[in-house]
Amino acid sequence: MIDVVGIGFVVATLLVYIGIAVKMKAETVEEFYVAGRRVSAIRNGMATAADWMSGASFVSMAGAVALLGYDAGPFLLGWSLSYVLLAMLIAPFLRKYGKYTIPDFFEDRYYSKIARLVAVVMTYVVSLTYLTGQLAAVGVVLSRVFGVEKSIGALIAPLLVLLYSSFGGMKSITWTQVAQYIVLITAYWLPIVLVGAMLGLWNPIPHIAYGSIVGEVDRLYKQLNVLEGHTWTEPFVRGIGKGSGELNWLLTTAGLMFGTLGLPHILMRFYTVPDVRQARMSVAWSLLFIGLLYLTAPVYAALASYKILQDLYAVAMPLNGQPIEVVKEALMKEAWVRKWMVTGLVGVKDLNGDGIFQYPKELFVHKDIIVLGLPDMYGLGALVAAFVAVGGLSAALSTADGLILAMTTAATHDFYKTLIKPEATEKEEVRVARIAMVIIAIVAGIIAYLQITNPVIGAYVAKTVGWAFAFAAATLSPAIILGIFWKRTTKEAAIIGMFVGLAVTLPYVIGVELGFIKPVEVLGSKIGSIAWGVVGFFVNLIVTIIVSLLTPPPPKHVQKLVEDIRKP
Amino acid sequence: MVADKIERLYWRTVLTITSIFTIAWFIVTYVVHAFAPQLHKIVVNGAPLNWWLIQGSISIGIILAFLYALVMNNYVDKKFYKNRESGR
Repeated sequence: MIDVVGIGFVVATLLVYIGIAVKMKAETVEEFYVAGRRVSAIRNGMATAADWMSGASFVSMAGAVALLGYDAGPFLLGWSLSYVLLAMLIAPFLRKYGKYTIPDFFEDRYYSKIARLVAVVMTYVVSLTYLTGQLAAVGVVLSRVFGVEKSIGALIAPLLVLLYSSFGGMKSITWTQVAQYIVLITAYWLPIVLVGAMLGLWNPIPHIAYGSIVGEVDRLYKQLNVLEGHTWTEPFVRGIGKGSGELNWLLTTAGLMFGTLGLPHILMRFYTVPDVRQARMSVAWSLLFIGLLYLTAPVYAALASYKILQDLYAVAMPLNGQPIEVVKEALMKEAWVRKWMVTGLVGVKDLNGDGIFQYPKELFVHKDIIVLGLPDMYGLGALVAAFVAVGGLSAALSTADGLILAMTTAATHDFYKTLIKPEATEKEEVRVARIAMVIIAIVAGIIAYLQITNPVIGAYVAKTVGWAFAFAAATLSPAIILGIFWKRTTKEAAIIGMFVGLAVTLPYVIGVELGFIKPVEVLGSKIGSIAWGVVGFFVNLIVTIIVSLLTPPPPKHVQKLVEDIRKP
Repeated sequence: MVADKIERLYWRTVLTITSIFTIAWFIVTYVVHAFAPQLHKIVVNGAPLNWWLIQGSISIGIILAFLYALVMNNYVDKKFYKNRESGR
């Protein structure tokens, strides 16, 4: 039953995306790279929000909040409030600069091709790791709806993106992302709207009225001894990125923010608006549209946790010390638990292999159950569940679009056109861009396939997504901000700063995640891998300032460029 | 030169406004959450106050972003560059 409904939904939405893309085909370079710079602030806001919120945001964000409680705050705050900084420090100035790519800015501002190359490499490091995660997420949804293998789904995923993005680059992607945003936000809100009505939470809105449920979850945490006597909303009791404590919480928030400021696939969206004013407004709209999901994630988390505590923890607690099979049978009396136990997203895991159930640590809840399972927990029916799956698919596809385009422009405009064949005509450039896009999509598809089929590669790829933020924070972000706000920043300083930033970040982030290095302890907090990006950011900043003062000032035309960028 | 002076004054205004908004951003993002253990003891509308501040901070951030855009677009830019088409 879910198949017919699900397939219908998926095919219908894909056809709409393809239809939009064909209609909005780009003909010129200007249209292919920056959508002709005719995207209004509010539309660019929607497209940026769709670009930004990945399949993981849609499916797993609320799950992280459910599992980590208040300690998931850095993800919610870091990934949203970074846009306030983006609005003030970067977006309007990049728009005024007004070329096509982020590496463009690096070459012009730091008057060297090496700066451009470094930016191209960082674009690839950040985007490729991100993209494989998106394709894997599409694979999961396709496997759920069509019954194909996840790995095959991940291979098909980039072809879906190609169907509509290779037609028209930024122009068609912008329009499909707007459509994808509307689909994903509707799918995200629908279950909350319905459950809210069921529980009488519409006074005034579930986002405020759910306070009583948050209180209930806290009470159940204590009563059922879920977290060694701690409650769900208690601050700084759970770890993030192998770190823990208050300082790690604050630094992780900062690390995610500074990383966001250096993500090329987001920054390039602000080239597409008509002027500086629209650039400022469009960051504000982006944040509002992102907020609509981020403000709802805690509501999901509370509503789902409430059910999980009642239907899993409360049932399993008295069965501590019983055989595993007995516990499984007792849990399966609840319909939604029975359904999702088959998928492995909830269940009992015999960790020590003794056949005896140990409460609570042998009870297993996967974070994806929060969003995917909520319709079943509250009996909303298959239709709603299928629609939610389509929302997740749209979220993953829309982010994949943006990433593929970011890498395509880096390969075509920054590499082919600038470094290999500067005399290429506009027509040639667009043709090369389309070919590059196909190659990138296929390579990413193969990596995503390996990620799913090979557990070792899978483990690395999963971690690199988090690293992308630390690397962006330590390299691109400081160079962009200083380039705008300090005329005296020199090319030597920016390049050395980026390398030192990476050198400070890379060993620690990898070492801590893989267990070679023990996290540094400061004021009783362990500094985790994501939080370390802040250290890289400030080391880069300081090194860049010192080296700038020791090297000859930038040439006159570069100083003039900075002055021009600052004028609205 | 007059144009030069306007430019410098404009940039100083931009920096002032940016600083004010950055301070506000810093307070809602970090300062209030640094006091989470204390705020946890206060219950508002059924849930601890530190919990509400996650959604609260995001909401204030949205307001800050719009406010910044409105102040810059409708007040600062107009005052300094009233007769100029904005950057194309």
